Amino acid sequence: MELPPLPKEQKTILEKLYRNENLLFVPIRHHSPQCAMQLKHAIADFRPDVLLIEGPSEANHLINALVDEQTKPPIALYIYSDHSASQRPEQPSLRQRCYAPFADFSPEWQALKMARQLGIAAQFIDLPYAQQLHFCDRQNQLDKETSMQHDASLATADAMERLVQQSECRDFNQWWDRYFESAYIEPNWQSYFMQLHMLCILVRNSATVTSQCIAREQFMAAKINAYLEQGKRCLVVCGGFHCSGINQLLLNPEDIISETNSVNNNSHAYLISYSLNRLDQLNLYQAGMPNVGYYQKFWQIASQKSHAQSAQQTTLTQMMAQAVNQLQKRSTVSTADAIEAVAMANRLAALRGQHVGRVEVKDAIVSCLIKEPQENPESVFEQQLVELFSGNKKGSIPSNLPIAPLVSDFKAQCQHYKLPITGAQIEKTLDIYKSERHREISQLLHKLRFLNIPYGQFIAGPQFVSGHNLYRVREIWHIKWSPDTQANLIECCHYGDSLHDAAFSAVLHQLHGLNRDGHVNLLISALCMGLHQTITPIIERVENWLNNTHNIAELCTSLRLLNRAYRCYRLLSPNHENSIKNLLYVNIERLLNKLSWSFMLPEELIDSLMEALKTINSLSQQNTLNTEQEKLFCDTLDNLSEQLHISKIAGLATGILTLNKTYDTNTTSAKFSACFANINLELAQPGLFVAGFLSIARAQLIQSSQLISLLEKLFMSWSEDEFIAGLPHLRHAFCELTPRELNQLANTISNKHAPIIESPSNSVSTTELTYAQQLKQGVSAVFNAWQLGFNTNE
Amino acid sequence: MHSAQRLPAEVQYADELNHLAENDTYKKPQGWKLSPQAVKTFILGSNKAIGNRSIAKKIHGNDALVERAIVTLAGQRGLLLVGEPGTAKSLLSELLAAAISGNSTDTIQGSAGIVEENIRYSWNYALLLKEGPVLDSLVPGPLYRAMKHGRIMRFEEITRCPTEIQDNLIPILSDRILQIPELKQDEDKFLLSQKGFNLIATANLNDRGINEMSSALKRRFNFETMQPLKNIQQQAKLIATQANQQLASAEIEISASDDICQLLATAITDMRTGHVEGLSISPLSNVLSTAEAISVLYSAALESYYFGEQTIRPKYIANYLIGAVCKDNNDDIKRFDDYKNAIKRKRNDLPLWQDFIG
Repeated sequence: MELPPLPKEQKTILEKLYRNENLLFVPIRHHSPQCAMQLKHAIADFRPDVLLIEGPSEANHLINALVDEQTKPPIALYIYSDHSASQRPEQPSLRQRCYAPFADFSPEWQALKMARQLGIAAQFIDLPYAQQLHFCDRQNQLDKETSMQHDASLATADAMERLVQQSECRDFNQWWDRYFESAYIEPNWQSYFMQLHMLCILVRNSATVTSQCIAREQFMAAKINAYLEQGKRCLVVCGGFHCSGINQLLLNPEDIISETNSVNNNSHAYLISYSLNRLDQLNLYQAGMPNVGYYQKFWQIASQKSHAQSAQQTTLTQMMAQAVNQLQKRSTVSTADAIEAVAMANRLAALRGQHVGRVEVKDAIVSCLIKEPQENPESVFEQQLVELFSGNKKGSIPSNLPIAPLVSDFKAQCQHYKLPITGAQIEKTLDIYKSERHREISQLLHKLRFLNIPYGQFIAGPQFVSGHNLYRVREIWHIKWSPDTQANLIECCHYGDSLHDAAFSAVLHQLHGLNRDGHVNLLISALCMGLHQTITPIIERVENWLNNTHNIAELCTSLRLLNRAYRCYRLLSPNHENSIKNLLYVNIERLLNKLSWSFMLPEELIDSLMEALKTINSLSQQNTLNTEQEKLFCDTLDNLSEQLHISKIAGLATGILTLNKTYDTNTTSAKFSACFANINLELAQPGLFVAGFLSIARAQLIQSSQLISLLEKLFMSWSEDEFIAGLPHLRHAFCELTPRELNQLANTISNKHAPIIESPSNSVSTTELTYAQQLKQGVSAVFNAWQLGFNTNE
Repeated sequence: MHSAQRLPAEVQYADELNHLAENDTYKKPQGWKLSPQAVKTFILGSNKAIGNRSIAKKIHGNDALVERAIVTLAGQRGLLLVGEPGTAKSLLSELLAAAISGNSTDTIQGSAGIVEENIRYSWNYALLLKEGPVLDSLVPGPLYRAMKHGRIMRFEEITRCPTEIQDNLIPILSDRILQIPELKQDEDKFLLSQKGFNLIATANLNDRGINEMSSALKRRFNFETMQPLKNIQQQAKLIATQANQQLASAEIEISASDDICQLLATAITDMRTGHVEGLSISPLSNVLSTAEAISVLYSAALESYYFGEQTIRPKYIANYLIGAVCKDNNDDIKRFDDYKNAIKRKRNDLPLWQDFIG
């Protein structure tokens, strides 16, 4: 590969750099196996006194752990900083986090291992994360898993795009594979890193250098210069993009700003196990080395072979064999196909004038092993061969590392509540209504679940968010501790040092990103976790949303959820009954006000609105609404009862008003008559009206001879055609009645036209009736105390 | 030959092929006229001049596929090009045969009526009666010729043939032998393929009226899926180049402007994706290909030249587009109207589009 010549000034700088016998600058691409291999040769030949690596300075205390015998990549340094100030004193601050992952083939990792073997001091020299945050879009950082090591600047620069285009490669990654990953089969680190150095200078000349980049380079240059001034022989391992910036500063040390030397104490670093799959995903988003599974395989083989070309061929054949094994589960590929694919990969490499690499392996698979049309060839590697190309290896870390505060808090709570932190799975049944301690355990488990920490699996119990199984009074959990529990806990450290704070922060974080009716669900989730002090900001947000929304469907949904929260307040939020009740009132008033003048409702909204009106009715019957709200409710229902185009709602409104005796029988009858008179215009209306009425006031119809007579008269007034046309909807309406009620209605109607035959078995004495009434009242009182919605009129 | 309506690729590009052969320094597989590198340059063009001559790109948007196709043909497997109609499968097949073998006419067009004799060989019945089953009586088919001379055979629309006809290719691709049991002489009873022989097939696997390909035959092919051009600018450029070439060769003194080509490429993409600037429209039952777009533009140009103004107007394009779009489903006419309504809403301030919808 021939790179364009460097400008004279930069060529001079590069030559000066290479003349410095105490400094070897090694530019790398993160997670490049070839960089790692050549770097090892460079370290062995150069024998520095100190190895300085672009890595998080706040993690220097973890270098020993990184190179510990028990540490097996992939692993990552997890760094978080509580840089941003808290909005309120009672709230923990929202922290930012990032990762510095290492795989077996990461140059930095190999450099550290080699330094340990040769007894060379090693240090991370990058600008602390807390200081880097000054330059970042912090809001974006909250949501994404970001890496401190990325090559986006290298991959996207204009000069690189031109080089890629000229080479007829598909993208930067193929270009890199061709000229820097597969091209070098002999150890030749001087030539390799010189080429890479020149490339990085060219790329940087056409790229925008950010202020974050400059600050980082200043910091690293200061660190390097400090060692050079002591006369130490330094080998610097650094992302290629930074090399010329740092070189410039080292040649002009007076330009180095030394105030950035201090390590920010607000950053915290921990070592966690990681996975190749996560590294692959991270690289996907940040222009890193793709298909890390391939490079892992290559690295494993190259470590055992003396010759890189032989390693390339062995990797090729093993990848093909494994690909055939995977694909055989779904298609009829065979060893013959693998043989052809190997041959094809080699022929492709020859055509492209290079050694076999990742792209040739993938192209050969697409061509020889996939026997169906592919709209997107890459989908094979994302689905059927994802494990092979993304990798599935998980790393491990030593057991004697410092414990993160969140992990300590978790263990302390487990100890307090006698929950397992080792051993096999247990089943735990929690009596959340009867036992305060069980309630606390439930809240702990809900917190862990909310933070996505694998520990407790919810098996059965009332689900307050979804509204399922609310009749259940116990929760059943399966609890099992695993190494992932600790790893995930560490990764939640940026939320807080205790489970309570972490859950609290996570709720606030979610609240920030939510809109519409998600707030009410979050409110219930927070109550389930026992985060009662988080209620205030959520309630404010919900109230603000309620006051600004015009969407009837959303108001109905939120009413249902708020009612559920209110019904469960004794369990979930004993101190916030009034707050939730107020929200409920706001919701009800908004909905009723909207319904007062908005009658053009879509079909799909009818059921939701019916449920909402029944909910309000239920609250009214429990004397929860005040006088004004009652009046508003009655007025709205009165209006709705005339809207025959939404006849089901009209029927329901009439039923409620009949039920609470706002309408007498004459008024109710008039409503029925008005609806039935329209049969010739709207066939479905009478049926829907009756369905709406019966959904709330069945007894009023069955026990009212006046209404029954009216209905009879109305049916008789229809012509035969009209009756047949309206019959299906009426049949559907009367499905609201139970068989017993139907029987009762039928008896009433038949007895009108026939003598009544008394059945002794149906007679009930006055004493029995009185006793039944007393029982009913007693049960009603108990049910109301638990907000379980007992309708005394049914 | 040069008065023919359409020349085979090896004749049309004879100069380029000769030039590449003269400047070809790479190793050629046995039986090939050019090296794989030269074949790639012929089809994909080159950024750099080859011996003071630039080579134009002929296949767009599938560069990696072309490389894989070339190396497939240097191996023991056949090449099966699949994809939507109009994605240049046949063109690529022709170019590959022309570059590798110098001959693209050993071709079979697959259909339901194809029988084995159309593929392998048949007989001159007069000679057969006179002299019996000897080589002189045999009329070699495309397969026989390709195997005998070590050339690429092309089988277009292979899946339109019945499966049992397709499976005649299995022993050819496996053992590279064609049995001719009818012949008298023992040594003539089979034909072994010469070096350079291989097979390129094309198929549209999702169309109606196609037959299954047996897994035994599938295993003997490498599959390559040709993708339609997704980039509108690339499409527009290709449509412009091809249509203007056709107009020039027909001596029509009219050419398509970049704006018109961009409009046509945008229309095709809109109808394929079912969106007009965020507004959803009913997708058509047929996918309109770049080849059809070139044909639409050519027809519109002819109409402009012979019957209208001397510039191609969008309204002529719309007229021919309806014919290309609405084939066998009347609902597509309504969908096309739906598309025009969407343009009215979203592009009412653009004069070219207003002319398009009339």
